[in-house]
Amino acid sequence: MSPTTHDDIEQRVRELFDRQAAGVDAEDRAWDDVPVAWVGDLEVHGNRRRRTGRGIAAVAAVAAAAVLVAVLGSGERTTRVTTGARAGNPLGTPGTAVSWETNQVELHADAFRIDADGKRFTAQNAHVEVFGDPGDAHYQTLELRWTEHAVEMRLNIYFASDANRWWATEIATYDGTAPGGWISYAGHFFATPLLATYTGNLDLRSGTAALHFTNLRLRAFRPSPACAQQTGAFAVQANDSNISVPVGSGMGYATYATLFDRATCTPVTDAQRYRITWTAADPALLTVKAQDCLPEVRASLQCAANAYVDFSAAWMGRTTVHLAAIDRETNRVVAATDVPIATVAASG
Amino acid sequence: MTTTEAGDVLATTAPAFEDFYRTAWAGAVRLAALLTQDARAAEDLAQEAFTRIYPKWARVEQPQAYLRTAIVNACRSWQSRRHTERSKLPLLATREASELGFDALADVVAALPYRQRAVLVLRYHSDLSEAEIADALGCRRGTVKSLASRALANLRKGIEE
Repeated sequence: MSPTTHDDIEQRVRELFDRQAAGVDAEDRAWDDVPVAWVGDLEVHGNRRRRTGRGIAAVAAVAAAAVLVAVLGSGERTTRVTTGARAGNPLGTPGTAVSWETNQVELHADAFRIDADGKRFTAQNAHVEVFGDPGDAHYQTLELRWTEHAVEMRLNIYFASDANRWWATEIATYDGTAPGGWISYAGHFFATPLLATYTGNLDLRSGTAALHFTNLRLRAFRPSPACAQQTGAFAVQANDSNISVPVGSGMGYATYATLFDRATCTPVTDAQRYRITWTAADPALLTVKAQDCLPEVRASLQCAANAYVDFSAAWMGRTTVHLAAIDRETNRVVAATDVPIATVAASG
Repeated sequence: MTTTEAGDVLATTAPAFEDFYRTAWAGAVRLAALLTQDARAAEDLAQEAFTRIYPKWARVEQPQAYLRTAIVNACRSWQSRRHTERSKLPLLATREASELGFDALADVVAALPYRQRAVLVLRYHSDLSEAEIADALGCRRGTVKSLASRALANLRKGIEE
């Protein structure tokens, strides 16, 4: 047996799992058959996260939600959407100004708050993890995590786009409890022309929970910030924003680099002409292993040679990686930047 | 609930817990079996996951996702207790499987670090997206990418040795 390609091994693994699953004898069982004593015998485990994802966005539940949305005005660059009556201010601070950015999405607001489980979450003075799925031309996310009132809070926004517009398909927050459960608002929010910024207020409610932004300025599918920050004909960036590499045996963080034509701020169409180099500022802290793009992304990403990188970290800290794109025909660097990297404790 | 240009809000009602248990039980056992690669532990771990959900059922919006995460966590905890005895998973059609090298592949899969194996199981058995796997494991998508590519590299190396 000599499975040498990615596809071969993936297919074999899939078949193996199918065979193993078929061999598992799992007889039907009813809950009534379960001894109640089980409940008290359980030990406590740590992880408390639940997921949301695009695969289930359509069934995101907003049981008992009362969301009233009215479109009050629109314009080429400003689509004003105000939702319902204001939530009032029963819990103290009306919210805090926030500013969060990834390479794909930027969100600014004069006031932000989430009311959930009788508590008000504003992210004030909290360390907010800001990240998201770089996705593709039609899908991106903005994802925020922080701890407040001694519980984890999350805010996820899922974006879609077509040739003319971008919008959000789902907004989800945690419900203020521990472990956190999701409150999901599924719909069609912020529809705005591509490259333009949505501006407006937002109030969403689900039972006693609420999400509010005052003077929200939101833009998804933004042109790469690298195009504005770098000079020359090209710009290069790591697709993931705010890279956090977990420290631990067998753990790592992988991402891709994209090379842009700065004139249009779109990925170059002849990516194979270029080679990417990743150089760790502190090789003892951060190990860098670069290779060509994995097969599953080649169809959706324009990949230069060595565009894929897998980082491993030896201890917790901060460092940078120098990212450069080299024209393989001339052997000259056409774009370069430094990528900040945090190395963090592995979760779970 | 109002439907407008800005938001078509969907509301669903969770099924009764007993119905959910009945329909999800077999899949839960299979998932636990694949994650642990142990035939004996799977039922207990699946039951443990359901028992965790039961008291929270009224506010669980996405039962399948919640169950999946609970199973992943229960299996990780079980793995960390470092059981020395394993009850290797049976393979359907064992003779054929052996001829095709699945026995050897199963040994390599069983030897993978838990998180690497979990990514493979969630990807190739549960058909989850990278984002869904990241949420089930409680990590970032970049970590899922890394775990997946390392797991496949380890498999390739293991079966070529």
